[in-house]
This record gives sequence, structure tokens and C-alpha cells, in this order.
Amino acid sequence: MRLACVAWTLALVALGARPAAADIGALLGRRVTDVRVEARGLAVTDRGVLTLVETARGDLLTMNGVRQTIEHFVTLGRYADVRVFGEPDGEGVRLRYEVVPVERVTRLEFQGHPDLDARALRADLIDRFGATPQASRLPEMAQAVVTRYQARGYPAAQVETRTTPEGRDGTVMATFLIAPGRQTVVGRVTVDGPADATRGLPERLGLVPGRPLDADTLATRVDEAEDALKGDGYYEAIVNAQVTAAPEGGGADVAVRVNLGDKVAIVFEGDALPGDRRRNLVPIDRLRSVEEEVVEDGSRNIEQYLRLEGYRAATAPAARTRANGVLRITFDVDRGPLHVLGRVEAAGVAALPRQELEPLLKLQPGEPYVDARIAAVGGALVEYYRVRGFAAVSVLPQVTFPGGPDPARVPVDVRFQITEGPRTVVTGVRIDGATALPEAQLTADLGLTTGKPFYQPQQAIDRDTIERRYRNAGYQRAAVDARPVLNAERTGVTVTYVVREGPQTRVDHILVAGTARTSPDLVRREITLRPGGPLGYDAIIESQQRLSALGLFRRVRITEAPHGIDDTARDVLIELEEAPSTSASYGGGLEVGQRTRRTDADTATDRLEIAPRGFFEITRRNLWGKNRSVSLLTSVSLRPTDPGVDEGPEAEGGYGLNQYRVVGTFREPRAFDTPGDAQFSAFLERGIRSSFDFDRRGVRAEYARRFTNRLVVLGRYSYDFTEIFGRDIAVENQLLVDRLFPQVRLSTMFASVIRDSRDDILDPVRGTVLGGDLDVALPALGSEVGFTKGFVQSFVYKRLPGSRPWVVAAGARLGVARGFEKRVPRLDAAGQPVLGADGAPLVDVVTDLPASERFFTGGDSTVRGFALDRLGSQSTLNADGFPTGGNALVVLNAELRTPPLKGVGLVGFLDAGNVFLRAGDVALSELRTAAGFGIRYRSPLGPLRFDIGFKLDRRDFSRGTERRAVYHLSLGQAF
Amino acid sequence: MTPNPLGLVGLVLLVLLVAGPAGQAQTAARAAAPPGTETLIERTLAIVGGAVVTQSDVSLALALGLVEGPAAATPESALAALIDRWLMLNEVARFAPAEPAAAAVESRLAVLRARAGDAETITRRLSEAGRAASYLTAWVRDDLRIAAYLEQRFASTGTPSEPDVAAYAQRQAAEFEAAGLTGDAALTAARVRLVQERRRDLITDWLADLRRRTSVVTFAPRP
Repeated sequence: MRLACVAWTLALVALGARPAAADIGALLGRRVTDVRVEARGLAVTDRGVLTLVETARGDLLTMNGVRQTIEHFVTLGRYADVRVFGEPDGEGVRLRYEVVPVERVTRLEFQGHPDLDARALRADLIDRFGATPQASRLPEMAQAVVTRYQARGYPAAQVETRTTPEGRDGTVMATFLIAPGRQTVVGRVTVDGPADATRGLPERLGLVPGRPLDADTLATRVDEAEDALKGDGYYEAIVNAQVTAAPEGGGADVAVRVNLGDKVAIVFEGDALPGDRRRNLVPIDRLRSVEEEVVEDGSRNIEQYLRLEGYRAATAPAARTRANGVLRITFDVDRGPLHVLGRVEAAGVAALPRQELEPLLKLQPGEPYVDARIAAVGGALVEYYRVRGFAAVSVLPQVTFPGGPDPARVPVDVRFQITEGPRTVVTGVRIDGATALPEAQLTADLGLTTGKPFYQPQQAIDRDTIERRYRNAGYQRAAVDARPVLNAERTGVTVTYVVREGPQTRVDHILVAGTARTSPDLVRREITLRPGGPLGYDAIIESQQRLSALGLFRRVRITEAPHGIDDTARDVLIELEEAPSTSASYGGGLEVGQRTRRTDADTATDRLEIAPRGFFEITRRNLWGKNRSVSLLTSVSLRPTDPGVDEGPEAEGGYGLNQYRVVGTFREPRAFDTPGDAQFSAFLERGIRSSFDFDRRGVRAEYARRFTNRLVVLGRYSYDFTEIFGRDIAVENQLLVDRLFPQVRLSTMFASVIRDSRDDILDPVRGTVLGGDLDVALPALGSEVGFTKGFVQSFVYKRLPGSRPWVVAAGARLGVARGFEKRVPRLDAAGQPVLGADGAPLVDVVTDLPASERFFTGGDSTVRGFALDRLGSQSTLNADGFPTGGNALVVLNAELRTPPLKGVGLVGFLDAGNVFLRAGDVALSELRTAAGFGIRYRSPLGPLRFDIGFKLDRRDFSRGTERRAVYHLSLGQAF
Repeated sequence: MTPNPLGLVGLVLLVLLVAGPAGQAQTAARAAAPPGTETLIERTLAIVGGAVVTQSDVSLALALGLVEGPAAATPESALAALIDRWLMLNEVARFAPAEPAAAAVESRLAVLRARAGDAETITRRLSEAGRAASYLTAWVRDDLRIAAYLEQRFASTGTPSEPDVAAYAQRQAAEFEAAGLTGDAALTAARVRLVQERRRDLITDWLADLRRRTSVVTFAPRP
């Protein structure tokens, strides 16, 4: 009978799992007349899903298409189980894909016995299974809860789970129905150990008969009790609590045993050690352990410490003695004589110039002799030779003791005996086994080339380079072996890289999962992987970086999805977690700096001012799923009112509105189907300069395109109104353009090219910046004043040789501008034309740029011996020292930055520059110079900067002489 | 002992169902189900670390003899073997062992083809399972990669001590004597067996660990 049961069971199982081969065969090869994808009985209409169907209407039905469709669905991560049904439809076949959506647990609830904290249980489960585990893992999660209860004294705990749908997106709430059973209680407690150590111990361990027994808590308290004894010097103390399983319905007996051991005393005998070193060298107190390894570590540490001090033969054996309840561990320290370096020489040097090796012999006669240091120098010599092709070089340090008058100070002569061996030069580089990639591509830019010295580590690097090139071409299993073949004299080597290419893997489908608002087309456009293209490593990384840089996603993960066992094609799954589409940010701070202010005597002075400032920005991203965004930025700063200038009650001390800015921006990445980004903005702002304030409002359209990682080109059109007010310069001293156009309308075209190869924007160590801007304001486009303005700038950053990063930074900025001539009829107070002696209307000719467009300089990022905008030539500063700005600008900077020590670095700088009224006035002899120094602190916000600049050529103005020093506090480097 | 007729009928049915798909496929009428009647064409049976094992994978493995020994006994054991194979392949992929030599692939492929049947049968079975002709080559290559990985990872399973060898030989004395192995020969055979058993145990533990670390979902039949 048993045989019958087994046979029938197996037969039925086999029947259930078998495909209906005959029927399937009849359907294969028919034309598909209809395809329907169903989830929970409803048709799936998501285009992202339907495009994954490989058995489209009109196709001939193949199992390969069916299989691929299933794999795509599963890879997408939204569906678990997939079944495919076919039904004859005339001569064709109607297909139905029945998919079961993956259920994810988004909420955990606990019902039943509430003894354990639900929050802790939830945190445990999330920690182990993730924030949104698949519902299929609920049995594992239930078992984890059971284990948790058992550890807390509920040996019979039982947990069941049930799920409740949370929404239509396959999310469920999991409810854990907990039946913890009886908690074990403490039965009989016995304590064994010294009376002093066990007094009150059961109570401290929470062992009260009849009370619940929590195994986790008991273990923690046992550890605490043991630590307390060790804290008293009993490093061998052991506290143990043995729980005997509770009989049915009874309490669990607990046997507590304390093995106290002896109190430990550490003694140092012999030569003295610095007191503050002992604890670090001998870790017994720190680790509260007298295990043999710990004691041996102490001896070894003492000996190493002394040997690094030059006591080459130092010993510090440890001995244990026990008496009267004390374990005494004695370290007998014997330094032995101090060894100092005598003569140091290198012998056997023939192939390389001796002076090349001398910097490596960083050993000075008289310094303590340290074996490790000698070995390090020997290693450096070997490496120096090997890099130059001497693969077989050997360097043997030979130590001799010539003797000396003082037995406590032993001189040691060191001779590095060098056996150079032959110098091996690469005589050829070959690639064997490469068919898919051209040899020229594989060998391009390799380190080892014909004629270069053979260096084995470089060979390994080159091997990796070739392998990586294969991986980037989709040959994921490519393996490259390097086989160097030396000639008989070992002076030449031919390096052959033997390649086993393996199959090339191409991208089949690119599946995008996790997007609700973002268009999958946008994701596919951003990535560098393409269907049909090779599945390359760098392309995966680049794609990941590009998607992350969009700022649309909290998480981006790109994985290869298995594609059966077919190596030649893989689906690429891009799993995304979208960030909230609306984000708001705000912040505030203080701006500290020197500002030019008018004194009671109507002169300009630099005053230290603290200006509170804040901003708020709200952005709506990913509009229409196309990564378009709209944002509104507002910022405001306050400054101490200037009684000499400001009017109204707020002028009597306190703060007034200093600067504000409101900008609304619409951004369209990849505008007009091009690689560039477009931006449209409207703005309203108020700003301050040293000698005037301004209000500006306008609109801008901008297009920027990045041609390479370093090169960006930008074009912009702006149309704005600027009103100048709060002038510190008397009307009669103002330029004609400022008097005629206190409010000016500008219509400006702007173009900019910048090449930036800095390694770090905030704190560069190497790289260059080269940029050029051109502004043109055209009356033909509605500008009241016409001008053209050019500005070029270049910065260079170079790290000096050496192990510590000293950095030299230099910069040059040059700006020139020219106003277009504009003729303006002169009007009287009544607005009528003023006539000249000849009866003709008088006309003023304007050739200057409006104040808001002129060049100013001086300040924390230009010439640091001057406050903001306070630098000018005689023609661009008035008699009181207020700047009027000019049509030309020169700024030169040089700076030496020290390596930071504990986040703090120093700089010394030399700045020069000036502003000239006309471009033709530029003269290097007129540049004003300043030198100074500063401190940089690497704060979490970036480099915090404090600079003091000193004018090297102070000048006199009508009301006094310039101040010598100006200081600045700011963020980031000066340039 | 009287044979149970019911059991015999079951056995016959089992043999027909499990061992005879080729014959059945060849002889069964290729008529489609009547209109209005759906036929289950394909379904997922398991997902192993993201890899799908389908019903036709299991059928193909049985039909072509891709799984051997006890694994070939039933669809369930074949499915379990395919799941184990995916677990191992996922692990092997992490360490990217060298590509097997072409000669080794060809040699093994020849053995497999000989076992699977004539070329026409193989092509038809592959097509019915939605697999390309290169499937067998890829299968064999993966087999060799797994074997290379196992060899590398479990090569040094430790030499059993002499007392262990002696005890094993003692336990298996009857079997060894029956095979004509006595004295040192029996000890040598015992040593080889012990090493093999230990290796097998290690691999079993390793697979169990892989199962714990990998998401493996198997699907119960749905109505």
C-alpha cells in the first residue's frame, strides 16, 4: 500500500509539473493575434511593462520569446510568479501573461503579548530584513521574532503572521500574532565564590525567586558584575550564571559562580621607562587581562620602544609570582647600551650615479641605530633599482661594531652591499589571443613599452589595464596573463600578454524599476549603456553617476540581470528610488567683513561689519517626468545702518535691509534635444557696492553646454533695469553716465567659455582654470546704453614635490570694456531742451559704462590689502577714497599654501591689481600691491579663511592716509 | 509478497510521465486545445537570486540528461538541482574563475550530446524550451567553471588521521573484503573515501549557507 501511495504521489506531482508538450507544440509557430498581461485579474496597462513583452501581436510564437518575457517581468522586480497561457484563435494564438505582483511589507504590527517592546522588535526586523521586505520572507521574520522571545525567557513562544493590503501598489501590512507562552521565572538561586565578591550579587543580577528570568538581561548583568571585579584589579575574575531548564510549571534554577582570582599588580624593574609610556606599552590595565598573549605583548612593546630609541639589545621579560592573594607581574627592563650610527656607505654602486642614491641614505652619523630603519633604507634602495629595470638587485645591510671609548654608547657602521645584477629593458610587448579588440587599442598608453626598464609591478598594472579594456568592451570573463621572457643575459625581456577573451556580453534590455513620476525615457537617455551595446564596467559606473547627479533619486542601483545562462546578452536593471519632487531648503549665517563707510568727516573708511543673512529656496523637480524643474530662491541680508547715508528711524543704529534677492528659475536639461541645459529666470535684487547701492529687476535666458568634463560653454541673454541709489559720491563728481542714467535699461548678450581641470573646486591642489567672458549691450536690442566688455582669467594650482602637499597657486585676471557713444539731449529742470549759444540744442555724449557694469576690485578674493572695491587708480577713486569704477581691471595673485596640520594650514600671499578709467590707461607700473598671510581651517562647511593683507604702498587722500592692514574672514580659498 | 495492483498502475504511470517525454512528444498528436481552452505554456518555478527557473528548464534538464543521478529522479529533484546550480553559479561569478579551455568544453559537450540523443532531437527539445543551440555549450562551460571553483575551494579538505582511516576501514571491512581490498589497499581506499565524504559534507554545508544568504523563492502550484 505504501508503494502505491508513493507511486501515485510522484506521478501526480510529475503530472502537475509537466508542460503539456503536445498542446504547446501545436501553439508554437502560430502568429500571435492578441497579448494580454493580467495582474489580479485586471489588465496591466503600464507601457513600461507592456514594452517588455517579446511575443508581440503579429509575431510568430516562440518559446524563446515567452521565456525572455518572463525573465524581463521577474527582473523588473515588480512581479514574482508568472504564468503564460495560450489559446487557439483561428490560425493564430491568443496569449495571456498572468503575473503575480510582488507584495512588499511596508508596515509591521504586533499583536498578542506585549511584553517585548514593539519598537525594538520592529527595529530588529527592519535592521535584518530591510525597510520594505518581500512578503515571501514573512516566515523568516516570524522565526526571528520567536528567537527574540526565546532569548528573553519565553521558550514556548509562537508567532503567526497575516498580511493586509495597504494599497493598490502591492504593499501590505504584516501583523505578527504573538503567543509568547509563559515566561520562565527564577527558581532556586545558589551562589558560589568568595564572600566579598558574592555579597548582594543575586540582587545585582536581578535573580529573585519567582521573578521573570530574562536571559538577555541576565547575560548583560553578569558581564557588568565581572567588569566591576576587574575594575577592582581582579583581572582574572570570572562570573558565570548557569541556568537549569525549568521543570514543567516550575522556576529555572540559577547557579552563580564567581572565580575571583588574585589581585593583579604590575611592577617595572631595571631601567626606567617614562611613566606616561608604561600604560600604553603594557596593555594589561587597559584590557583588564593577564592572559599570556597580553603579557607577552607588553614585553614586546617595551623592547620595540627601546629599540626604536637606539637600544638595539633591549630586553624586557615578564615574570609572574603569586603570594598572599596578589599576582605580581614583573617586567625586568634592560635597555643595554645605546647604539648610534657611525659610518654609512653604499658599496657596489656601478650602473646608477651614486649621487642619485644619496637622498635615499637618510641616515646621519650619531643618530640612534634602529634595525627597522636600516631595513627600510635597504628596501628603498631595492625599489629604486627595480623601478629602473634591475629586477634581480639585492641590497644587504652589513653591520659592524668598530668599538668606542664609551661602553654605554656603541657606534655601528652600516654598509649597504648592493649587487645590481643586469638592467633589464623591455624589448617588445606582444598580445596573444586577442581577436575582438585591436592590439593597438590594447597596448595604447601602457606603462611598459619597448625601450623602457622592466618593472614587474608596472607589468601587473598593464595587465590590469588590458583586462579592464576587455571588461569595458563587455568581455566580463576576459582573463589576461602576463608572461615575461628574458634573454640569456637577462638584459632584455619580451612581455607577452596572453588573453582569453571569453564571450562578449551585450546589453539586451534596459529595465527601469521604481519610477512613478520620472519618465523611463529620461533615465535611458541619461545613461551610457545602450541596448545592443557592450555591457562595460565603466559604462555602468558612468551611468550610475549620471543618474545620481540628476538629483531626482534617493537611490540608484544598476545591476545585471541573469538572462538564462546565455552569456552573450544581459538585461540591465536600473532600480531607482525617487526623491520627493518638492524640496525646500533654508539657511542662515553671518557675514563678517570690512565695508567702506562714510565717516562724519565725509571721508571713506573701512569698518568691520557683521551682517546676518538667510535664504529660503523651494524647488519642484522632475516636472512632467522630464527632469525639468522650477525653483524660487529668496535671500536677504541685513547690515548696520549708516547714519551718514541711511535715512529714517532705522538709521539710528540697528540693522537695515542690506541686500536681497528673489529669483524664479525654470530649468530644462537637455533642452531642444541637445546635450545642453537651458534656464529661464526672472529676478529682483538689491545689492550694495562700496560707493552706491542698486536695485535691479529683469529676466534672463541661458543655455549651457558641457563639451567635456572640463570644458563648459555658456550663452545668455538678459534684459534688466538697474537703479542706482545711496551714492557716496557727490553728484558733481559722478560720471556723466551715472548722472544721466540713475536708472538704466540694459539688453545684454553674454558668452562664456571656461575650462576647469581643478581636482577640487573648494580647495584645489592641482589643475588650472582658464576662462573668457564677453558682454555686449546693444541699443538695437533695446539697451539704453551700449557697451562691450571682455574678461579673461586664469588660475594655476601646483603641488610641490614632497610627501606633504605644499601648494603654489597663482592667478591673473584682466578685464576691459568700452562704451558705445550715445548722444543725449540736455534738458532743463522743466524737461525742455537746453539750447546753446548758437541756438542749437545742447547734446551730451556718453561713452562710459553704467556704474553697475564698471569694474571694481579690492577685497577678500582679489587684492587683499584693500577692503571690498576700495582699490583704484587716481582716476577711479575720488578725493575721499570712494571708488567710481573703471573700464579696465588687472588683478594678479600668488599664494603659497602649507600642508594642513590637524585641519589648520597657513598661506602667504602677494596680490597686485588696479582699476583703470580706460582700457588704454592700463599700466603695470600703476598696479598696487599687497602682501599678507592667512589661516585656513578645514571645517565641515569647507575651508574657513582668515587673511590679513598689508598694503605695500600706502597712499594719501585728502582726508588722510590709507590704513595699512585689512583683514578678511570668509569661506573657501581666495581663488 | 503480493504485488499491489494499484501501486503497479501508479508506477507505470510514473515511468510514462517522467521517463517518456521524448516518446510522448514524438507520438502525441500536435493538435491544439479547442478554442476557448487555455493551455499553460510556461511558468516560473523558482527565482534564485534573480535568476528564473521555469517549467521548461526542468523539462529540458530531464529530457537531455543535464541533471544526473538522484537529481534526475523527479521534476522536484531536478528543480532542486537547478536551484543549487544557480546558487553555485552566482557564487562562482563573484570570483570570476578562468575560462575553461575550449578542448575541455568540446570533450564534455560530446559526452553530453551522446547522452541527450541525436542532433535532431536535441535541436527540437532546445527549441521547445526556447533555448538556442549555444545553450548546451554554455551549460557545459558553466559546469566546468563550477567544477574548477569547487576544486579550488575544497581541494584541501585535510588529510584524515591514521586512526580515522583505520576506524573507517574497520567499519567498511566487509565491503572492502568483498571488493578484494585488504591490508594497505583497504586503508588506501578508506583514505580516499574519507576525503571524498568530507569534501561532500563541506560542499553540502556550503550550499546550505548559500541558500541562507540568497533569496530563493519557489512557487507552489496555483489553481
